[in-house]
Amino acid sequence: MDSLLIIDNRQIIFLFFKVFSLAFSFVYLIFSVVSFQQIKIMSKTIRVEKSEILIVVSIIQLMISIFLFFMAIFFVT
Amino acid sequence: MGKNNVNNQIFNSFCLHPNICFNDQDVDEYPILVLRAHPITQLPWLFNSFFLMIFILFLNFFLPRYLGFYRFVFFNFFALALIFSYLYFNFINWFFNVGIITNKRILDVDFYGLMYRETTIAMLSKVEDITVKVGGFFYSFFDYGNLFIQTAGKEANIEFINIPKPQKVAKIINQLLKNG
Repeated sequence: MDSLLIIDNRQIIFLFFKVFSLAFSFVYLIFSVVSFQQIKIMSKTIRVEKSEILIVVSIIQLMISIFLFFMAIFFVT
Repeated sequence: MGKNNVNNQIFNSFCLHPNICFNDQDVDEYPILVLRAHPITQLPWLFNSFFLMIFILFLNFFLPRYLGFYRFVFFNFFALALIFSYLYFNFINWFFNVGIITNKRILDVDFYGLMYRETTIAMLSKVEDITVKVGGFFYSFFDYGNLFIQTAGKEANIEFINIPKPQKVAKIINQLLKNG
């Protein structure tokens, strides 16, 4: 019973790491979605010949943020 | 205006006769000049990113000992993604904050952050006064400055901040005013 109650410092740090990694990766995911939508609007406001590059980069950013979020859920223990 | 030997690449800060369209563009309206902030004014965020990278690299010497492999990998991925986003966000801000001078009017399109957009438009016929302000060593050395366009009546005044070759821009606007 005593061994269940004892949580060492390392475990507390890892728990904080898990919580913060989940929270920050979620915020980053939201930011990526908003920036993707906004860049689409910006590209419609000012249409230039290579604006697809910017859309592609924001899609990459969105994919990275999704990857990080899943990484925070499953990879970070 | 020397169309043949000018820089009309869209990723430039001084772009003559660009291949660009914008919202509310008239059928007989075409852009003559697109302006962005001088690249030298964008150095702070590039330096910030560089120093952040150095900082992350520095942390990599200490963190593996405390975090373990998976957390360490996640931390590095996340830090790099944040730096990438910071760079991209600042680039987007620079790229879409433009001043457009067409054969009919002058537009100043400003995006503040990701949420707010402001477009100021002045008809060329309403332009009353153009003021160029270049002050300081860096401004003179890299040839950039501020341009203030005052308009008649209720039309909003336009400010182009930190644009390259402000004298040349004023000359182009004056030429357009004389022609039109």
